[in-house]
Amino acid sequence: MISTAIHQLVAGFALGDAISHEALAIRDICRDAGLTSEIYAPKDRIASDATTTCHPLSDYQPQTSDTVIFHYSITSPATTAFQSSPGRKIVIYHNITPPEFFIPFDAGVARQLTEARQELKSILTQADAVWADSAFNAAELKGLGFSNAQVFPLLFRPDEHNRPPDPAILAKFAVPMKNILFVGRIAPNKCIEELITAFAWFHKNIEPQSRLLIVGSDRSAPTYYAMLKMYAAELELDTVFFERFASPAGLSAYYQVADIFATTSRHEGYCLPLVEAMYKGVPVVSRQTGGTPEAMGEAGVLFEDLRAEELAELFGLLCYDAPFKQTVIASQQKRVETLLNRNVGTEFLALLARGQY
Amino acid sequence: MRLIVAGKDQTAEIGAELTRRAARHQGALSPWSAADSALALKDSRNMEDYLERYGKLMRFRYALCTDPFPIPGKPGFAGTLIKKLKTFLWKLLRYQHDRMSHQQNAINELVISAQDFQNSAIQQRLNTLEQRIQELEREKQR
Repeated sequence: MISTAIHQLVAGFALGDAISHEALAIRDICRDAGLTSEIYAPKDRIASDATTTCHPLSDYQPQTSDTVIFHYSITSPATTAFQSSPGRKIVIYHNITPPEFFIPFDAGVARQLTEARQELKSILTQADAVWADSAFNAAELKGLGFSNAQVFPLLFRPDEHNRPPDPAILAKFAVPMKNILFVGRIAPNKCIEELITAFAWFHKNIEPQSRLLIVGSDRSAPTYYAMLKMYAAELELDTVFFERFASPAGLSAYYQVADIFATTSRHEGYCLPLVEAMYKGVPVVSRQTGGTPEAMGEAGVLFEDLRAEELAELFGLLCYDAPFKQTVIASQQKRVETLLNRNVGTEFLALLARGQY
Repeated sequence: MRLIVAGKDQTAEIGAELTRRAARHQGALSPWSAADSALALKDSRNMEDYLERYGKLMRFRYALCTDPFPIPGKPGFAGTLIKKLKTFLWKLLRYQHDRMSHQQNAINELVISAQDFQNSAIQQRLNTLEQRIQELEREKQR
């Protein structure tokens, strides 16, 4: 029997965040299927522009007939709400960042991540079904003894990226220069300092008329953000722009001005911005780590063990070698087509049915 | 090294070319030693260590750099002309820049010193409190 209500619990909610994005997509699928569906998060972790979309956890009143989906990546009060829900329970595992990355920058977050790994097993044991948003994440769960985790790849909603670009951002970067873009949380596991180093070589020796645009929230680790700013200043890079969190219209503008999307992240469960960039026709360069090969498929450029100077040269190739760039873009277009042809509604409902809800 | 382009392993072809081209990047990017670079913050053992290192790094990062720098230019006649104009303007307005940067540097140095003084005062207070707590605990045990 399928529940008449499918609600979701998240540790935090912000428009533009990948997990929030997925929760919204699932909510819409449920509503389209005639089910009642809401999203709940701890009140102090709901972004101010999302208070009408996501409800405070204190409003969550679970019923026995409900199904609750818990998006898990870090400890939060949502865990208790999930555990005390009387209905059927599903966990979607989005991976937990290894705490080692955060130890130099935020002991509190490092502790939370350690605790998250410790409590993960008990959460999974209490769930009636476990899903992972990438095969990489499912493999990690298998290592914990949960071999039945179903893979439900992170959802991509193209509508979000079809919005008109923010004219203020277009105007800010109107002077034509080669723009290298990074989108994602400013967090230590993203190793943005490596991207800054590669950009520094690119800017110094290949293309002085270039910018590095770093777009993403700095709230995860302000101390890491401070280090990055200090590092960019140290290298005398006055064209590194820390743009913080962007609205969907803002993101649209950043992708429009970008010549390359690059990430040197060393830990990713999936990495949705890779897909977004491919959708927007921007050549993508990513380190091969965790779930990034799944997000990329047979598209873009994946690298391992590339020195900063070599990465800078790769940026140069993508900027000035037209056939190379065209090969990369064509592969990305194919990948996007595959992703757009995915019938997420049917896929989601089939997974629900498999769990006999 | 491994390089996968559009799903195909291109390490031998493109990877080798990248390595060859990368040889042109000479010298050091950062003017600071590894210990004095911002990246040294990554070696912090905890938040306290981070703050100590951060404070140390800030102590010699307060000044605006007004040294002459290579002004980038575009190719062609117009590009060269604009570059020359920018270089001329930089030299012409140098006395103004130097005056402003001197003032800004003085402010930055004072702010960093103020933070240092405040940290020392807080640390001193914490030490006194810790000492007092230890004394009270000893008294209680007696």
